[in-house]
Amino acid sequence: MNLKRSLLVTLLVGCTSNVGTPGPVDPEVKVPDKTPAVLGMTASTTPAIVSVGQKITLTVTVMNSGEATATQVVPTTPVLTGAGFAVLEQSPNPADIAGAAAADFTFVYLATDSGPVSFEVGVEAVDTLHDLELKAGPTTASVIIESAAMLMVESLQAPAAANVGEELTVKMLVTNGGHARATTVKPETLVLTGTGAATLVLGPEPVSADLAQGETATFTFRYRATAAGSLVLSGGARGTDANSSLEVVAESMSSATVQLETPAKLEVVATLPAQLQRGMTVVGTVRVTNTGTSLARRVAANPALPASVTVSGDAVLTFAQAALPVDVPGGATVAIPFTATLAGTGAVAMTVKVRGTDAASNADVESALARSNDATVTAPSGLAITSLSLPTSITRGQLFNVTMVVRNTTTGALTGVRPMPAATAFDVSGGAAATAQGTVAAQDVAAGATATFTMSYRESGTQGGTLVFNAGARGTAAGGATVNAAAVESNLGVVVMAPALVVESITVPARISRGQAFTAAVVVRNSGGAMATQVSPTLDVVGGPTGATAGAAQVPVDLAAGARATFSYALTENGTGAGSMRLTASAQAIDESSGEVVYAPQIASPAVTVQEPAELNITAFTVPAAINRGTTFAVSMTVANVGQATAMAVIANPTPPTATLTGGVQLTAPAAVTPLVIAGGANVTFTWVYTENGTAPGTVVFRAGVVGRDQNSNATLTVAARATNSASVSTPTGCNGSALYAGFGGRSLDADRLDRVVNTDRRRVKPYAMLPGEYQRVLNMTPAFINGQGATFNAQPARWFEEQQLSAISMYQAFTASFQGCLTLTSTGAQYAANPTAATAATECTNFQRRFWSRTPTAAETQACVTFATGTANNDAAARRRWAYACAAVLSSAGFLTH
Amino acid sequence: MTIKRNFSRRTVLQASAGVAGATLLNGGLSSDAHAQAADKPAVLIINLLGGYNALFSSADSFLGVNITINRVATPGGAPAVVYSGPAFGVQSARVKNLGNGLFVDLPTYGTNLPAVAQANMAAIGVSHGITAHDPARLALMSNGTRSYALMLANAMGGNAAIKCAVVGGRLPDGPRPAEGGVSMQQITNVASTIAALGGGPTDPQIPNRQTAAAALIAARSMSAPAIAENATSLSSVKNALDTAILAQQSAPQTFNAGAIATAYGLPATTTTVNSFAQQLFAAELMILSGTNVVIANSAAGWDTHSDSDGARVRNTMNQVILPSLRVFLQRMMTATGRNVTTLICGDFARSLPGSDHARSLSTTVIGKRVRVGTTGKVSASVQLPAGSPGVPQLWSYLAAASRAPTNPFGANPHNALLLP
Repeated sequence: MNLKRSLLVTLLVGCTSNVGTPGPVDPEVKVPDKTPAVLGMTASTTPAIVSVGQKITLTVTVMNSGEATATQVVPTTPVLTGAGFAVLEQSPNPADIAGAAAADFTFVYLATDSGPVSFEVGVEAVDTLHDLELKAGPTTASVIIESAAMLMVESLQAPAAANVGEELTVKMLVTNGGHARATTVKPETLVLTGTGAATLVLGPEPVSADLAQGETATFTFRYRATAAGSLVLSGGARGTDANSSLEVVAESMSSATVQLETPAKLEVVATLPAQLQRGMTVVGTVRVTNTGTSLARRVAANPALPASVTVSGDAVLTFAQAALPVDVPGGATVAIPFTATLAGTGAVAMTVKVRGTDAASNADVESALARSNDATVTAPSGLAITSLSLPTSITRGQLFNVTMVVRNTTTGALTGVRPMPAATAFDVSGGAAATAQGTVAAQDVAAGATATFTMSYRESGTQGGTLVFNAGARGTAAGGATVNAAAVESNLGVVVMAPALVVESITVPARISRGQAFTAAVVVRNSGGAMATQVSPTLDVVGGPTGATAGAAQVPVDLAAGARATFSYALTENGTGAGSMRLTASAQAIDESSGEVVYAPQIASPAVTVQEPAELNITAFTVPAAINRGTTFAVSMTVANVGQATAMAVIANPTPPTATLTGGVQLTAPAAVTPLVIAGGANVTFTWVYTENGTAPGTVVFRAGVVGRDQNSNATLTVAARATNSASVSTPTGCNGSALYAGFGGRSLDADRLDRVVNTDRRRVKPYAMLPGEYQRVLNMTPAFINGQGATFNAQPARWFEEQQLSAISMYQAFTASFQGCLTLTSTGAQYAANPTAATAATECTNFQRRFWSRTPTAAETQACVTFATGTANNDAAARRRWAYACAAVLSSAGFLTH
Repeated sequence: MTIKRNFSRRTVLQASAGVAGATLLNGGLSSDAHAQAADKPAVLIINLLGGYNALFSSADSFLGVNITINRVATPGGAPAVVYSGPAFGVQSARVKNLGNGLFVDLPTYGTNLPAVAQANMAAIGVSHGITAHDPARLALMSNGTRSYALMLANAMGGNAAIKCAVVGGRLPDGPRPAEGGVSMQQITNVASTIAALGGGPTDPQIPNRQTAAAALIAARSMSAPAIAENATSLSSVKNALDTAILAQQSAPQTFNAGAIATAYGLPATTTTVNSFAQQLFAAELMILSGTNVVIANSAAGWDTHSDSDGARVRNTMNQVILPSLRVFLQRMMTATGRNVTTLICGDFARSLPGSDHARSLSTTVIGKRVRVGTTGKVSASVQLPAGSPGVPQLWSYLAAASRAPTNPFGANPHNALLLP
């Protein structure tokens, strides 16, 4: 085949992909008996939509419609364009294709980045029979790469507290933050940790769900609490990526701590001193024990006063003052004293029941009616004990007083009156005991008068318990006779352990973003038996580069025995970098009984991961630069999260992006794009598919920003709006409406076409190959300085579509050659014998211009030549050389060097 | 399409073009290499058309990465392994640690670049997201309407007649409108260039420089109507006239071109600018003349598909680029009063496993103000971290390294890789 003819055919037919027409037959060459191989091709991808991580198969089908065999047929390495990306994993080897046959060639890619991807692929081969190089294509196949389904447990919701035996409802919210649909999404079996326990009754409901991009499903579980204590539920979820069929897993999330309680249950023990005397003021002790774990609030007698029960004789108790309601924590016992006056003799008892409110359920709780022991009441003799009492509640180790009041009921004064404790002064229970602190002085008591004796004791037992003091009294009458008061019992003193503080828990978020405000909850319990006042925790931060500022100081509270309080701290992370940290907490309080300070041991919180906040960037926002009218195209925005925290609900703002249209361009509305989740360091690509449906060419530019939120802090994330490149929408035809053709390398033949008004941009720099002949034409000689200067003029340009251009160097070379030629031209002729004048320059400049430019110059053009020819810069000593410079100036202008 | 095998377009198109003849240089030219102002900056851009493998600038990224290439022997057949081994042939014994996280390929850069270059080298990452050649070249050299090289050359200032030069026949892709009067001038013949700069031989047929300047001004006036009507198609005429006038108005410069050519292993009479050695010879001449930005495009086969073991690209680098680049760097980086920065780049890095087209680029920058380190460390899958800087930030770094009075490319995120 003739080479030049081949080029001509190529250019004229515009390199269609399957033209195999050979050139004219050389009669001296033997003509093969088969027509040449002619290749055609198609390309396709499967599947059409894939997820990141999934394989893409690009199949190139090559057809040989000729008769000769195409040998070494091999597709070119596909060129990928578009926002997505895939890595080539497998490519085909060359193969031969016989005439009228076809073969498939398979590339396998691994999708790595989401977005649309086009594979531009051609095919090359050889027709050895006809000594032809064969090519077809390129053609394009496309695939949409979606980010894989991305499951996330957004929350695991559970009630803060519940009672044993009750059901608690737990809800797991699972979101698909990826592009691809997630099918058969199921929660994992929840793991229960903590001191409490619960059993699954029902759930999850639904059993599974399919989640499209951005959708959320709520799975409900019902548990029954079976044991009191703290309980944390944890679990993730699993599903299947609908594109790749690969399993996708949502990271496990934990619920807040659920406090499981047994309901408050009140049990009452009423106690009266066993031995009493008529007329005494008596303290009856009502011990209320909450055998549940839930707090019983505002516990009080119901009715407000105990009732007196006369067992024998006419003894009767009269209660006059109701006790104030008290809170009884779970497991705690509170002693409530009721004071009564005693009349009559015989035996007496009291009955009482109490009522309160369960703090967890707000239900009323009431004890059974309790009946006290029977108290024997005797008539006093000459010396009567009217009162014997000790504190109803005594802290272990505490100093306390026993107070006895006696009355002289005789007609004469009694001397040396003093209490007479029993041989075993105290009846004790549990680990309680008491030791006397000094002695009591005797007093003289006038007839009818009373005396009060205060006896000091220190609780000296080892554990809690009860104390009852037994004592009579004795005095001496005026005649020396001894007057005794019968022994009686004091009221019941309940010995309780000192307050003991425990920091039960520090609740913190598992993850926070740097600079984030967050809350830490510290739970402090009084595990002792006595009231702790001014309970106040202390919170500190430990951790490497992290830190946090504490919020406002906590208001101290009083904690009864067994009670707990939650202190909430508002903190702000203020460290120097990402990492992890822990919070430590301790507490202190004052023992109400002793006034001593008590402390809680320090505990540490779970680790808090501190991440750099989610930070979104638009790393690419593109539209194809050239769009054919009436076609479908994609606009892609790639958003990267360069922070560490996960970015939630990321979406373009606005979505779809604002389109600015010019000319007659119109667009269909694209399908909705839903928000996505972008993990730290990851990126996703949003794609909107439009179809142009306007009436005329024009341009389109899209503009949008991005919004989202930080998963840790919930802070709003915004990225300022930016614009895509400008896409040119045009009709794919040439200047005259004919089809467009591609040149070498697939470059459109009109890629550099200038759309200008008539008579502009029509001139071009003359190719270097023309110049020697052009100098010869106008000067009748070829300057030596122009010969062999192809390199200086960059002849030919490196690429076929580049036009000849001038540089400063080639311009200077052209001027030098012109001067050399003009020296010859002006070396003879009388008109050049004298220096140029205005008149002669006007004539000769016009002559130069007409001769060199092949046209009549304008007056301005001639004047430019004249000005130089007669100017001071044109100052060569030789007149003919001055004319040569003027001549060279004309030759170095666009009139000669361009056409 | 069917075309004749072994067809050469050049053999046809050159049929009437003639072969460029060489104008002999006068061996007596004197060197004035150190007559420039103190720390005169210059930037050499070596653009490897086809791609720039990250094994050179981020060699450690591929340590321990083994790849397997499968091919289907026959259509529909089972795949067979055709290569299985370390990615790009990178192994620990073939990697050189230059410090501060920068690891280079030992058989090439680690062996064949001078110590002064290895002590002032950085990898600068460019995340452009493009995997097609033409768009990547366009993006690397322009913002779509303006040439980054001309923007840089203009920003660097100075009074050279030719502030931006392309050495060799291949112009960069993309638009090249003049920036502040600075246009891109192509250097394809050293002798003509020296002559234009005033370093040519004395000859009565060579025009006087002052008169030539005035004559060219007159030519520009006479060309003005044509240039105005053909503002696009004759833009090179306007730029050529403007720059040629400046060159003639400037003080003449002389060079010991023969000695420079000899340093590059070229004959002292070398004039053409075809081979890479000739390109760097011309580049040094232009830098000595005061040019701010010099571009040397190389089309020596950098589109290295299937080069999974990196053997082909290493061989090309060692045979084509490094012999003369070693000379250039040794001479320019030790030249008193000069701050020459060299950028080695390409369309994109090569991907794995098939050495195809990656979507980002890890360039190499060498210069007096370059601190050893990297922002161009790619992953084992030849990707830069999300949010890595793009093309303008690379040019911003070059402007900063050159201490350009203004930086038209915005903030320089690679600032940590600059020496004070």
